[in-house]
Amino acid sequence: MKRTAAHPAARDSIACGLAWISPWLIGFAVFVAVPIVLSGALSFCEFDGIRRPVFIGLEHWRGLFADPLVWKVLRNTAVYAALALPIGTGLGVALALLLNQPIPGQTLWRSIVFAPSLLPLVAVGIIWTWMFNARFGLINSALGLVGISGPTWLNDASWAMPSVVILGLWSIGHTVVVYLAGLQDVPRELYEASHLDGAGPWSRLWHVTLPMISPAMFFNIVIGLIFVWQIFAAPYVMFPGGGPERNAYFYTMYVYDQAFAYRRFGYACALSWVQLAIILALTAVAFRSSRHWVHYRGA
Amino acid sequence: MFHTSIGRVLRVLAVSALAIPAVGLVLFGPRAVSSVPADRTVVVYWEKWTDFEGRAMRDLVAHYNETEGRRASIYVDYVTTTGIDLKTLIATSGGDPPDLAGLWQRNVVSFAASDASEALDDRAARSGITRDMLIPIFDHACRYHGRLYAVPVTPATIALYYNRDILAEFAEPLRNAGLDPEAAPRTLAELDAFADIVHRRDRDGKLEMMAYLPASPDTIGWFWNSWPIWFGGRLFDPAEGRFRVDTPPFLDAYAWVQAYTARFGRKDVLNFEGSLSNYSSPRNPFMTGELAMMRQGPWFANTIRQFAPDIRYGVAPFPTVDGRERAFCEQDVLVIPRGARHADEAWAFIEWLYTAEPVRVQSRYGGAGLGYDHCEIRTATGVERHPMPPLRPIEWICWMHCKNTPLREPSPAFLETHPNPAIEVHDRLARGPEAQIVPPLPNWTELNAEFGAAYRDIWMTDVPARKRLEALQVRLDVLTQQAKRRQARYGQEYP
Repeated sequence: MKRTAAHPAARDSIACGLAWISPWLIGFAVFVAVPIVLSGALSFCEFDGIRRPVFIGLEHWRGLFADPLVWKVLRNTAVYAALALPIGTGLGVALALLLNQPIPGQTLWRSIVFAPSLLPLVAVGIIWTWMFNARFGLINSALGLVGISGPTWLNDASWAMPSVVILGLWSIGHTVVVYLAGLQDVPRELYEASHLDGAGPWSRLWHVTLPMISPAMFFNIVIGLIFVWQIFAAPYVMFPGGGPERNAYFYTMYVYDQAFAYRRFGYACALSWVQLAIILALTAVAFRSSRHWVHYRGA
Repeated sequence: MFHTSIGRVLRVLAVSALAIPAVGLVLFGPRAVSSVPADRTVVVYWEKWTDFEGRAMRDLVAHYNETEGRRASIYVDYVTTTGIDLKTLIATSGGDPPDLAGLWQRNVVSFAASDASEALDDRAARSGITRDMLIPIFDHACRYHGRLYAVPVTPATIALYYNRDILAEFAEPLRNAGLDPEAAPRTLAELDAFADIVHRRDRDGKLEMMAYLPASPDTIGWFWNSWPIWFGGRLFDPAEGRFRVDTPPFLDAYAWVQAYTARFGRKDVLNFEGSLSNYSSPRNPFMTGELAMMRQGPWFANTIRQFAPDIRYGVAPFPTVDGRERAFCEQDVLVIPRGARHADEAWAFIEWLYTAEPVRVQSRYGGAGLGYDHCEIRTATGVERHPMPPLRPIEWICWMHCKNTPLREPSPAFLETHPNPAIEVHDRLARGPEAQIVPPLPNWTELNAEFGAAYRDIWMTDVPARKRLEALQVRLDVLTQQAKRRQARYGQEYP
């Protein structure tokens, strides 16, 4: 079959569209595409940022599997992801359901939940360093009121990870906003129909609300997955060097240290590609699983 | 038709609303103001200092620009730069470095080994800045494989600062234990004895004051890993070419650190440590009386003057295992990055710092509570205020920072009028045979991170110190081998 030539008007339209987005295209090429390709090439080189890169083949790639710190930061990041993502999702949905109720000061409560997510992450790290202060911190003071002697959050190897997970919930506001938007979109007639069928509140939540906001949940989980596997700023501030037993040393912190503290840019590039592969694989799993639990209206 | 016309008008109005302010901004908006004289060569000088240390250097640079710089048609443009080592490196890598960079001594070898800074031997020889001018440890710290890659600006040695008022509070029990409350401990055993007596707990039994904390003011600073020095060891032996953390000075030092925590209860000590404010704060634990002793450099005198000028304090060499004086030294240095456009002019400024006649620098600022236009001289009858004496530029900046001199033969006025009452202690330590520096290794930052992780584990957990050091030894050996391979690829030896 012969392909028909595009109509001149359509060609003009494409050319015009490309011209309008050309600043973005150029920016993407120069600041994203080229660095991605270069980082791939540098992962096979020794490069300290000053001297010319020296090709070393697969040495970095072999080395990273033999590097015990890689396994340590991978484990830490996986544990963090396994804790932060489900807790964040559950809490986000719960808060959205609460904030969706017709309660007095609804807008104020929504603003209060959303506001913390506007703070820069470094500032959040500094604030939480004081929140977790063992003697004067708000958290231990609150625990003290109910007779609990709080732990030394930042200096205790077993409490370092929970501290970061709790800190991560601070910026839950933007996910709550997405869930709230999803909740506004649930048709009332579904609730009415289920009510007539005798469904109770839990049943309505399970069989109506959650399926109807599952696209929003899916969106938040994918974005959250990418975010938790790149956690960096706040723990870097709170746990210089990774904290006790390096239990708060995460993958991106290690990549940053290798590149900018130790100037092993080639090795950092190899590490980054592994990180990209992990995130891509997990995102692919999330997409594949979405067929079974994400419900699109009209689909 | 009518709607189309309205739409067009609205679009024109919208575009005009954006375009008119933009054009106005371009035509009549603010213009960059430059105080740099057009007829001079501009030396871009990146420096890390802020606050009163930064202001002092700015004043010295301004003095240069108004005197020698005017004569030589050079203008030094002082730019305060945070994260200076990384930014200098990135700028050098990009081919647009500053002409002069104020780094730390621990950067010297890593910059030199990767060809990021210029060798300065020839320039120094032409200017008459010779090895003989400098205190050996400070000269040694600026060299890599025998070549000079940096010049000292403000050096420092670590000593013990102690609060005389707090020790006086505990005078009786200290005397009963055979200790002198007027003097600092000389040995680590004495320091332990002081610590056993000089501490206080609140009603709940929580620590609220301690004599000393091995992690203060921060668990990890550039001098925290000097512990083996106080136990008679050398941090790094170049002849061996690798760290030996399984040797007695390391094992003893880290076991002592761990035992110190255990003695007061690890959780209590960590709670106490976690509650302390950071160094650069009026709530610095030495200022608040939460710590009676701190391991610090000479700059601490300025900090005390700034935050708690009424504290009565003394300074002594840090206690050692056998009472012998030992020292850990660091310094701020100047380097000329590879590819600097005005390297000759940058060197001219360095040459002036070292060889100019004594100067009287007019300062526009008061610093750290002490006006920069006068000095206080301690006499038998008290403290007298005098106009600040003329000093060589390099000494002037050290004086302002309350730090040691790098010069082998300082001018008498430098020591006599120095604002740090214990400058003789710091100066003596630098000249002693037991003075050491951060190991001059190209991969020191990476090795230091490993030391930091080990130190935190020993300090914060109950993993036996020996076991943790064995693991550290394995890790250091691996990293050392990797560094050797990296250097070999560029035809260089490690270290």
